[in-house]
Amino acid sequence: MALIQLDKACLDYPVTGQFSHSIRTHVAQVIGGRLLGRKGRWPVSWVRALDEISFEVNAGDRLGIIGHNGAGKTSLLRLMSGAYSPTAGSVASTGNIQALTDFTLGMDANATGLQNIYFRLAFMGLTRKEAESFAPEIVEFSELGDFIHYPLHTYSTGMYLRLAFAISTQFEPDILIMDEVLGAGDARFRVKAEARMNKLISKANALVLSSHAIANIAMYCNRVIVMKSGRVAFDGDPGDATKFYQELVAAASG
Amino acid sequence: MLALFHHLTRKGLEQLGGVNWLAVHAYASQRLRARYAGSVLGEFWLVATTAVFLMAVALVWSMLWRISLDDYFAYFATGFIFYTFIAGTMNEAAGTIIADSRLYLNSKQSPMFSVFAHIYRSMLSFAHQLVIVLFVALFFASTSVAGIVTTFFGTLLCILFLVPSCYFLGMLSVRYRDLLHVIHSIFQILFLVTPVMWRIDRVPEAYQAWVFINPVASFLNITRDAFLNLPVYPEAVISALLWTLFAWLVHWFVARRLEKHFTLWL
Repeated sequence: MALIQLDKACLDYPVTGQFSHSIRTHVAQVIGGRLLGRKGRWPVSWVRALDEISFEVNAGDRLGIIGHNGAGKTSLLRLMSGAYSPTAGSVASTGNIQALTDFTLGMDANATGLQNIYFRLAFMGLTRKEAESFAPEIVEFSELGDFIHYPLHTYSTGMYLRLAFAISTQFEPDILIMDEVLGAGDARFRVKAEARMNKLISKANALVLSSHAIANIAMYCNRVIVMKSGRVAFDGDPGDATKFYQELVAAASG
Repeated sequence: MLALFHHLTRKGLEQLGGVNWLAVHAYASQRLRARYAGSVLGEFWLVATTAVFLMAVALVWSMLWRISLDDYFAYFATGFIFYTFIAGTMNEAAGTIIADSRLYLNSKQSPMFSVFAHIYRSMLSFAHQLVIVLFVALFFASTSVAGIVTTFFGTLLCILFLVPSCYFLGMLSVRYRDLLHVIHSIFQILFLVTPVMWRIDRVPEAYQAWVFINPVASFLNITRDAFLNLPVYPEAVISALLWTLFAWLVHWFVARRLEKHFTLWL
């Protein structure tokens, strides 16, 4: 059974302009239009970001997504994680999905590292007691020591990212969705983070990884989709996909 | 078996309404803390400044209108605190889902999360302000058990009204960003037509019922006036119930129309 199934899924974005988000403009258009005897024009146009996407993600799949900027990679990840609903077609998923598309999400600069751990774990559905039992492990991995009792705004960028990384990668989901491979901290911590990332990926039932780094795609994925103008231009073996993508890049460069 | 029951009950409560309540509590507390970051007094700083403001206004207006300072202070202070809770919660609700855009673009969440977190935070602020209400009850007003019970149920009904209202304002503001300014303007006018500083019984009798077209006036009557042993009007009770019902109908309609694709507008 497919863990994620997309069937002719489309996504249309509203292209917002200066007046498209204004209720005053909307009301004026409707009333003005009525007075002038014509239908009010709504200053919103739509663009198709994803066009009839159909594929399945099955257990064991390590799916890479590559493509130019604006090809629809992030939209596709958000569609698969459930943040967006398709405007046409369907997306169905089974199992616990963890989207690591913004791994500092919800971090509060005024709260201490420990308070941030409790808050983020509560967000993941853990009780305070459960959060307290996992906190020492996270503190130890982040190597923050006594700094864990200080507010985040006193941290360096590296310390901040180490904590965010430690929290985000603490639990192993069924389906892991990532926008680029996570990494944090100095060279020594990076080795540790890479090992943890590898463990997380290997334990997940399925991985969906969007990346511009072809080396990462080659390292982690056993299947690759190439996105072009909101459509799946290629779906198959990583080697062939990389070749196909490089030809696209070469063609675009002239 | 007992452990399983406990687990299911806990999980059920945590996820009631599709919302993670522990996260709502953590998020609302975090935002309240952030608002008073660096202040030793925290939320009580607002209580202190509100108390000074209420005393100053009550002193001046009681002299201008030649009425008892004790009576006017009790009426105005409790009215202002209940009004700030109801109107302030609705006023700020407009920006609450937009403020959490990052959350909705990176995880699957119900917009009710922001709504509940916002109302919960307002309730925490309101709970702090109740110190002033307690002070009024002890030194300036005569309250009764029946009055306090009515106020309690009036406040519950008020929260039941605030949930769909805040959701509606929050969702509509995702679509129309200038709604924030429109709502602020409406609430500035609403303060003047709501009996916070003036009493309903001073309005000509023929027009008194019209005051309760305003939902905030109705909720104020079944909370503040009940607390101070002033008459609770049947029109206010009916109006509060009808507004609550109407708000939930609008909520149902908006949820069906806008919720599926609201993240596309963030």
